[in-house]
Amino acid sequence: MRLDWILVLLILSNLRLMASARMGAKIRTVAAQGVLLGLVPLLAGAHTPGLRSLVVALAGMFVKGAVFPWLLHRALRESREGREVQPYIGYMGSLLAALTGLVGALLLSLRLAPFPAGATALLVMAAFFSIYAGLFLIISRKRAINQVLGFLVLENGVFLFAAGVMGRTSLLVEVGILLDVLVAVFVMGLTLFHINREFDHMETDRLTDLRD
Amino acid sequence: MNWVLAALGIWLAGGLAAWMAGRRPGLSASLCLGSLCLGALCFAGPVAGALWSAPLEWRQSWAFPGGDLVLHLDALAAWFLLPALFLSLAGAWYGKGYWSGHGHAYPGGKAWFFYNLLTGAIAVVLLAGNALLFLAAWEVMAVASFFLVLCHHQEENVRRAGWVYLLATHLGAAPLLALFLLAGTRTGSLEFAAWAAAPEAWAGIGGLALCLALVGFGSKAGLFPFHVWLPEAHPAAPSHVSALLSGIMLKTGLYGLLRFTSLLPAPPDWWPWTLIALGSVSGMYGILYAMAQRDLKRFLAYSSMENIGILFLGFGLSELGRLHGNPAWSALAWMGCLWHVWNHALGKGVLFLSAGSVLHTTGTVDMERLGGLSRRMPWTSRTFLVGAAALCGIPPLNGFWSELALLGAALLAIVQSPGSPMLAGMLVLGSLAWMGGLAVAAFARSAGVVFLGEPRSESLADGGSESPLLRGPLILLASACLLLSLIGPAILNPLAKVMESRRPSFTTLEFPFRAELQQRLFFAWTGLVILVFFILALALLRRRLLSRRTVESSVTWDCGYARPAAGMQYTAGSFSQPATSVLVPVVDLRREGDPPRGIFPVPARLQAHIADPLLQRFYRPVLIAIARLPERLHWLQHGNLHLYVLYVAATLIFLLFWLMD
Repeated sequence: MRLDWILVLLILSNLRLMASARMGAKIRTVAAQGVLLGLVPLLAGAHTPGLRSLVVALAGMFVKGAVFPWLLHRALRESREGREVQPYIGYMGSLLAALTGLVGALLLSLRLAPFPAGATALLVMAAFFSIYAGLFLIISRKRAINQVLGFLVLENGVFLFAAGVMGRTSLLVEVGILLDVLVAVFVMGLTLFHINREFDHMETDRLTDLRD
Repeated sequence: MNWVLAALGIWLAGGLAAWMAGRRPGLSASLCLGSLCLGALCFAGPVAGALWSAPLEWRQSWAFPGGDLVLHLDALAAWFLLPALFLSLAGAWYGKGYWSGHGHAYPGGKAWFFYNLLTGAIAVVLLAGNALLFLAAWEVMAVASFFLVLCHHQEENVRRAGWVYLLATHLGAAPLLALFLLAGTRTGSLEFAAWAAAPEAWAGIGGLALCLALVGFGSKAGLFPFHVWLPEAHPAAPSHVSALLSGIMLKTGLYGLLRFTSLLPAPPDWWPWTLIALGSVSGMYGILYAMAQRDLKRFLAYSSMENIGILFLGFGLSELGRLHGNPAWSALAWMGCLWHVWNHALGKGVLFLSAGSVLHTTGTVDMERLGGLSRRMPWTSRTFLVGAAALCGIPPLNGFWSELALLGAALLAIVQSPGSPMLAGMLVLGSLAWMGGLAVAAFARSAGVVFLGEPRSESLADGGSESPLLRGPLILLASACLLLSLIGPAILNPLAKVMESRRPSFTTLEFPFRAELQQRLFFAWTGLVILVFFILALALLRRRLLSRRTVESSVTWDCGYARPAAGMQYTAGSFSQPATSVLVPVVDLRREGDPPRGIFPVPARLQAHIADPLLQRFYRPVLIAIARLPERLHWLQHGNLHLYVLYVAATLIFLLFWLMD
């Protein structure tokens, strides 16, 4: 039951990400999403969490809830622009797309049933919706920070799916994923910084000079 | 088998060390040569064991899918390994001298690393008992040789050659991958031994498998329609690398085919005919084009193609014998084919290294500019002559034996088996006669134009002699040619061991004619030894007769002209003109120029250009057409990141829903 609340909150946070224009709020939302997600492995699955899962979950919450927002806020300060000005898809359209995605994820999760113990249709739906939201953010927004956030949300979806459906994953895999994401965000943060310095903007739609 | 692993390890370590020491060419070359020597010593025991007693096997379980790591050293592998080891050693020795002088762009320690890597990869290809390992080694071999071809990548045509080679080798590997996957799914294993143990799995796909093998292995061997990379890559590579590529790497294609067909129960009817036809076309086409080349190394590359043709003729004839109950001629043809592997490896090794010496000393391999080099480079001209005679099959040299065996097999097939083997025998006989005749003409042309007469360009008239550093490996290989010929019939014992590895094995027939063969070969050998003594006696006699007289030397082309000039000599083009002009319908020869006119002709000009029609008229248009196809999709690539991600997302969603239904 507690898990369901978390899942609903995750879905709502995705909706907010897709509908909001303010970058600062979006970064905070993604951070909150990371913390909520850290709780999922502890609550999902048939088994009781051990000390190991607890440590991994705490580490994940720390990285996603504190380190990433700090990195991204820094990049945001550098760019001095707090809003997404002209997205490819407007905010009304984004909300409609979000609803479509939500329905699609629901249909998809219903078709995938039955699930292993511990996983519910709601969890699978939330996972698919997160992936969808992440891809949507990457595709429809121009500011480069959005692409980083989209990547994080997408990864959150994959993580949610793995944690909920697979149940127990090995320590190596969990830590490996965490490190992967950490490195990816570091690299993206650095890239953002350099893009900003070189081109004096962070609009990814204007970065077409390097094409073949 | 631990020795083999040690040898592979030593090669790798030596190559890496040579790379590290790249700043000091001498040290780097010594490291490479030393590691190759040590590795060859380690290999000596196992190879001898496989050739004279029992095969060895090494097996190591492996975490990856695709079965165990298996190295299998049997007599067939050992037979190919021996020349590989020898030639790679001689090549490294030569390379040490070749890359030491000034002005001969030393490509750095990495070239030595890739040289060792190539040697090791060839060894693993020959030893692999598992398809995955084989394919991995095959690719390493291709990549290492690609980097070696690109040693002098500063030149534009070298880069082009490297590109053609890379393309050809990858296109050639694709059918092999398909073949191995096909075999793997049918038999449930990727081990060669398991394929041989499941003959029923091949029912219905035997023909397809053989076709794939022919394209894949044939393109590595430089067989007729897949040969286009060969005359590009061999002239571009440094000479000792060309020697290794032509002497050994081409043979891995043949080895693959021999190995693979020995796994199949029985070939379909068309198979031996295909081999004989392709071998015949490659051989005739190769030697004809060799005749028309003016680049010495390109000439040698085409001559390699001719020799591959000879190998495939022997192989095809013996495969035909497999369908006719393994008669004696089949065994003889197989023997000739295997024997020729050694002979061509040694002979072509000498020739490529000699051509390298010419390039090293004069800076060019353009035959129309060379001439009279026998005075400047006495040793190189002698070794070149030995190599040329060996490849023409002229008696006191080793090529004679294998061609004798092949001709004997063809004759026996005609005499003993009426019907289709008789036809095949006639075809083989006719092709060999064509190749033999033109080969003598072609080698007489190249040796004569390059080493005899007078220099054709003034810049070559004077200059230093050949580098003494390059002499050693040349003499080593040339004497190996002679020695191999003199021990000729003794080779029958290890060869018989190799022939057991074919299936159905020839030993099941108790080798009925082995005693007879031994006897006949002994006769031939006696004749050969008498010939050698006769030549020696003639030389002694000449020396003795001339000893008390004054000996003068004069201009070679001094037959009645008051003032002979270099331009009066036969050029390479004029020498081959009768042969090429008769065959204009076959050969793509373009001539342009202004012929001399009038009673007092003004300067005239003639330019002849010969191109490989297969490359110009088939591969180029086809490849260009293929390259145009993706250009139509160029509008998809606009540089907008968002749309790229959208493509990925759309594909993912499409796949998801597609899999759900």
